[in-house]
Amino acid sequence: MEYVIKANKLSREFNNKGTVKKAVQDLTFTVQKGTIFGLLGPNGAGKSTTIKMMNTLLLPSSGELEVLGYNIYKDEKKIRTKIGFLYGGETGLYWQLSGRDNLRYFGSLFKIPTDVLEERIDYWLGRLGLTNAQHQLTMRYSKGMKQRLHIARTLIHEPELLFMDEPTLGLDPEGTKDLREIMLDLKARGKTIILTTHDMEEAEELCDEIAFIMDGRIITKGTIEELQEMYEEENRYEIELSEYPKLSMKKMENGIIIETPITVSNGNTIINISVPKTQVAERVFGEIVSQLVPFNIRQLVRKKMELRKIYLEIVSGQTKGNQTVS
Amino acid sequence: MNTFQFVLYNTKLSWRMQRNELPLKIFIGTFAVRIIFQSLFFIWIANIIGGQGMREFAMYGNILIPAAHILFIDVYNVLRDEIDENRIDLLTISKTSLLLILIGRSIVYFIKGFFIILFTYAVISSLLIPGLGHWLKLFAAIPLLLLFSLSAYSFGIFLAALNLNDKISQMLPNFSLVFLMLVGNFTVPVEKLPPIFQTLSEFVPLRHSVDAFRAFLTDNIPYWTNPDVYIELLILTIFSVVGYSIYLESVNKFRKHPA
Ligand SMILES: Nc1ncnc2c1ncn2[C@@H]1O[C@H](COP(=O)(O)OP(=O)(O)OP(=O)(O)O)[C@@H](O)[C@H]1O
Ligand SMILES: [Mg+2]
Repeated sequence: MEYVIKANKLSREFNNKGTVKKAVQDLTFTVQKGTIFGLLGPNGAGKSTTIKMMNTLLLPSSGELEVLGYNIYKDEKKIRTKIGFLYGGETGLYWQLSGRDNLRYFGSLFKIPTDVLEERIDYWLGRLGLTNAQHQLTMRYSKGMKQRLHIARTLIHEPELLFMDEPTLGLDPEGTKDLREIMLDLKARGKTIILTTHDMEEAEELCDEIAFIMDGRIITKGTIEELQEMYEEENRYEIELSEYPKLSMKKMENGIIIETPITVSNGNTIINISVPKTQVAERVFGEIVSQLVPFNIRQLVRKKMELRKIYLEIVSGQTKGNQTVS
Repeated sequence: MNTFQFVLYNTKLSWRMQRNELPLKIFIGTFAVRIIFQSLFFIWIANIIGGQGMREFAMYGNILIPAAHILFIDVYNVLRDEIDENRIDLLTISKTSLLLILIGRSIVYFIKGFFIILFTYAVISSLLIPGLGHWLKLFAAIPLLLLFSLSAYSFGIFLAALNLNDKISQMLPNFSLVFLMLVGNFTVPVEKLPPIFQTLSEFVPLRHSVDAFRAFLTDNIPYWTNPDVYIELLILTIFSVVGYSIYLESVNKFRKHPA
């Protein structure tokens, strides 16, 4: 397995008029090549600080960090040409230049040959829907158009590793969809993306692995399936039947909850059942299913816990924990 | 893309950047109006202060002011985009390349500044001080004016390098301009200012540009035989070098350890 990030006990402090603020403490994690890695957590958790240490903009106060196999303390120059950093906001573009000239400028900083650069600019302007606005001055761009240009700017030198700090900020639904497609495309081409977002649906759709950060510490990390496994207290099933069932089972038994069946538009009936993760409950659930067979089971799906719920669980669990301490 | 192509390419972009700042018609219109009002204002102040030659004193310095103002605002406009602390791309190029971009850009702004000065001079010499001399004389002052541009630009980037904070950098050019008006040695002679301002004015490139320019315009001897002008040119060169160096150093340092 190839890792693009190896962080060990990474910490960063900020000195604010004498008081020391620990923005990030003892982060240890790895990111695998060719994946999308999500950094999630509440405002002020330390996500941007972590990203800025990885992309060499900030030096850590302590800890070890390797990016693309290079040590960030010694080889930051080598790292910088191979990474891209996309952040929400209105700065970082030349307002007096057109969209196209902006991309020319940024491309030239990476010394891309002019003919290759022009081709790439055409490609990205087209892909991001900016072709018609390419000769317009950037200061006249709308917020979302600026963000689209930022995306093109970040990708113009085809970086191997991308940092995206709330990249969909200010984008319309179409722009958001475009960016998500671009991200999945990049991943398919072997690029690695480190993403922060407050949109849990986005994280769920895109991320292969997720680390939750709160108060500068990693609370939990893993693939979405692992997190679901960790935080789900019960399995939820949705069973679709073509006939309305009659059940001899009680509504609740061994912690199992059977919701009242609902008839949906195509005439079928849906029953939601939650089953605690105990052996007894699993066995009883098996019996329930066999009782339902005569009513023609069309579909049985296990419903996954939404990331949004996991997030809220983690945040509330963490605040509860803090309260007992203080 | 080799370094030469790189610099050429970026200078071309800088040219477009400055061309986009103000449409030519508005540019000429506002400047004509501004120069006349500004000149009248300075003459009025000069009359209040009184004394021999105050009127001429104000006029000579006044010729550089519109250009200084424009250079300042331009520097700010470009640097506003460049002082963004998230710009890793600027850190990927070598210091030499960054320096070459800056110099290319300064020269572009110099060309703009030169035309403003020429224009101002033509207006002032024909309308206000008929005896000032033919405006073609200005072409002889190109080296001086180039250094004026470089040092004005380097003063701007030096200020930008000092803080790297968007809010402060937004106020700084305007604040600095008021300060420059005071110690630039064109509204009020520096000798009439309190000692602290006299000392401060030594560190202001504009003051040296104005002094050199005044020596160039007023003295009957050709300026290339005037040692005072050479001293001022040397001082301006030092300013430019120091300003650019501090900027180059700070690009890396400030980004690694923000406040
Ligand atoms: N330059 C700085 N100086 C002082 N403190 C800072 C600085 N940058 C960040 N911090 C502090 O570090 C902590 C983490 O900030 P960070 O920007 O990393 O949070 P974040 O997780 O990105 O939050 P958000 O979701 O709001 O973007 C915050 O408490 C913040 O106040
Ligand atoms: Mg952030």
